[in-house]
Amino acid sequence: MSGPAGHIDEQQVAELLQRRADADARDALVQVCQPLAHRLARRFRGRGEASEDLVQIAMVGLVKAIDNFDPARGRSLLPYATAIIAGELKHHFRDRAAAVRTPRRVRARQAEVLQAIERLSQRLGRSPTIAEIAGEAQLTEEAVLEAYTASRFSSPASIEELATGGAPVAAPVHDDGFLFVEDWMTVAPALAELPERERQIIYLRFYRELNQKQVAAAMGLSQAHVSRLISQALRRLRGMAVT
Amino acid sequence: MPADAAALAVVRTVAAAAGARASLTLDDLDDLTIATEEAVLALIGFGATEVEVRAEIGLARVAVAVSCESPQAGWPPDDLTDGLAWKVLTGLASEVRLGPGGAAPAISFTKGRIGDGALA
Repeated sequence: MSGPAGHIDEQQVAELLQRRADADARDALVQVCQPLAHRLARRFRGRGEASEDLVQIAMVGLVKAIDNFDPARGRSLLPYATAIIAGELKHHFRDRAAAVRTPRRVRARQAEVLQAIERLSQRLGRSPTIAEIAGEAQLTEEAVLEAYTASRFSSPASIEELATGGAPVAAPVHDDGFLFVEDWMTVAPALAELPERERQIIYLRFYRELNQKQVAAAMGLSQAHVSRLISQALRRLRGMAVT
Repeated sequence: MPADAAALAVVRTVAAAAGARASLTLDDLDDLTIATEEAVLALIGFGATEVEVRAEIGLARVAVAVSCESPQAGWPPDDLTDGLAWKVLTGLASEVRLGPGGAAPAISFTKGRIGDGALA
């Protein structure tokens, strides 16, 4: 999986960009820049859209950016592509009232807010501000912001729910260099696919931050067995979370 | 705040609230929250256990300045600006910088309403 320090070779981008009229070079450029599309797609997760759909939308944005990029304007491709890809993703969500997990009270309000956004966007020719939406929907700015953040930032299924159904606990900061928070959030849906025992072990080791010996004691297994199961589960999670 | 996933949700919400007060449009709010998230993830990904995020609203109320810093030893890594997080930041925000913060090196940037100028 690509980590927080993902990298694109800019020299290669510049070289391919010069030859983008050639179909092979253009395809290669799309390939090289693909991690950017994936990364931005990840930023839009948790809004009620499947990950693979988000990646597709982001890839459409990437191709548009590559085709329309004008080097004469002095900007490099990657920041330009970022703006275009993000724009494509935002446009998608603006056109679609996402059915996300939100409290009923907020969900009802979302309908009013979304209608106000649509009316204002048409009238103003741009996306509206929170204050403008509040005026249009006759709601307080706080209520609009609450509805907006609920629709935008609905979290993926809670990891505790997936792992145990138990009470919320603090999220892990890191886990021996295997997974960082972002990756942890990425694998949350995949966690549900793990066999029960591996899921529990991953939960205890990386979420409760118990060491292998403590996990072994809690599960009634040998430490060597726990170690093998952790490696196996991480391999599975990596396989499922690769985007 | 502690550097964890729960904090990330708080950071997003605070960034959105600051952006709303600065009269950013919804499109700009999205950029602001994504950029803030990228900056915080760059810190967390490096192993920071504590992150300080500051959001200041411009006097003209059309822009937000965000600064994210970490006291973690060794931060920032030399290749930070070569990474994808940095590309995303520079694509979505303005005046993206890596430099001295309040008490430690910080990633800072501004997000304003497109066409309305920078911070007052």
